[in-house]
Amino acid sequence: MIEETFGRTSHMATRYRKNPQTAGRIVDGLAFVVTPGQNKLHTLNASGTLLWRLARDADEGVSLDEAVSALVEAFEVDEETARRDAEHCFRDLVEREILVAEG
Amino acid sequence: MHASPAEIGFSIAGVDVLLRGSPGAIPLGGFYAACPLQGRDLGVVIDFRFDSEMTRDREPWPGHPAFSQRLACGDAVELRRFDAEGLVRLPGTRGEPLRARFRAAPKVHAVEAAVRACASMALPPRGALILHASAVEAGGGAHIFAGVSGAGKSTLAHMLESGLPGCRRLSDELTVAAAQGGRWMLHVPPFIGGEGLPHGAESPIATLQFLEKAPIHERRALGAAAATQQLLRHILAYASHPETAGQILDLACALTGEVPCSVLAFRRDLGVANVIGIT
Repeated sequence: MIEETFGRTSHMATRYRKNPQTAGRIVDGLAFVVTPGQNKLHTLNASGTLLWRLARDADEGVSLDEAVSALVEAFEVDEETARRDAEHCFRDLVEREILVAEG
Repeated sequence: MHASPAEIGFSIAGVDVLLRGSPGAIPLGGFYAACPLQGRDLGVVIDFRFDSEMTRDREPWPGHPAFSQRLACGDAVELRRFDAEGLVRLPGTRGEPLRARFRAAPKVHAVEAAVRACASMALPPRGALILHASAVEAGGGAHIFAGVSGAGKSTLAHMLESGLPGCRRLSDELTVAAAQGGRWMLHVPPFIGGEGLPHGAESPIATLQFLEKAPIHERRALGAAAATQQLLRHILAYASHPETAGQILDLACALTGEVPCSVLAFRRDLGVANVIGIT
């Protein structure tokens, strides 16, 4: 119970921010992000672009719950689907060093 | 290879480069003399110091010929490949030059590879990009053909020049696209491997085409996102520094937004000229 509480608390507090070492631009609704450390170009899909934009535009970054709400509104999907997509997307963006997770 | 003086000045798309080394040590292989220093207000934009080291004259590593790169302290980028290694300091302010110091094998390709890498960092702040692309000039405009190695860039440019009166080959492999005075201009850089090209020439860019080999000729217009994605694959970019990466992205978006872009599928015959529209 304690672990579950701690785990949930920790997860809820995580905020995702743009990796300051990256550069990105949105063209026709798709984000192009360069991770300079790897000199690699990443082209994000529509949901990836939305989450990247949220993370880029908010000084304090974006939480999973905020991302889920944005996905539900933008793509008219149910919350469960949006949460699954957001979790997968954030994990991928962090692995690729496009976003950083804090908290 | 010719012995050279201790210092050579030349220009890439109006960006002045000063290449310095010990007397007689700079191996000349490019067409630098065809592009003398411009001496514009900017002054020297790339200050490149070269030290010759015989021990670096060795077999290529896997991944040749690209440099590996990493950010060093400050605004410096470290570049390494089998025959050259150096440190590039990006300008701290707009008036400063990019300063590079390399130790390299006394070979033209080693030195010029380093010069090209430096140019790929110095040109974007001046509104220019180096593209892996060939080009021809016809009807007063330049048609750029970008593609991976083996896509037919050089083949297409040679075929059009030899088969169409009034068509002039501008480049085979590397081309500079620069935003100038509200339009995009192509510049022919003075790099090695460009025999018979009009080094230093410039021409307004009419089209940008991404090559695909195919059994038929076909040209498909690209939207902004698809064109940008294609273009970014064909830019010579050493973008370890986020600011450089951002400048390259901005220029790529501007170029694809202002110049008609398409995929050009072609086979090896002159019928492709009709599809390009330069008959």
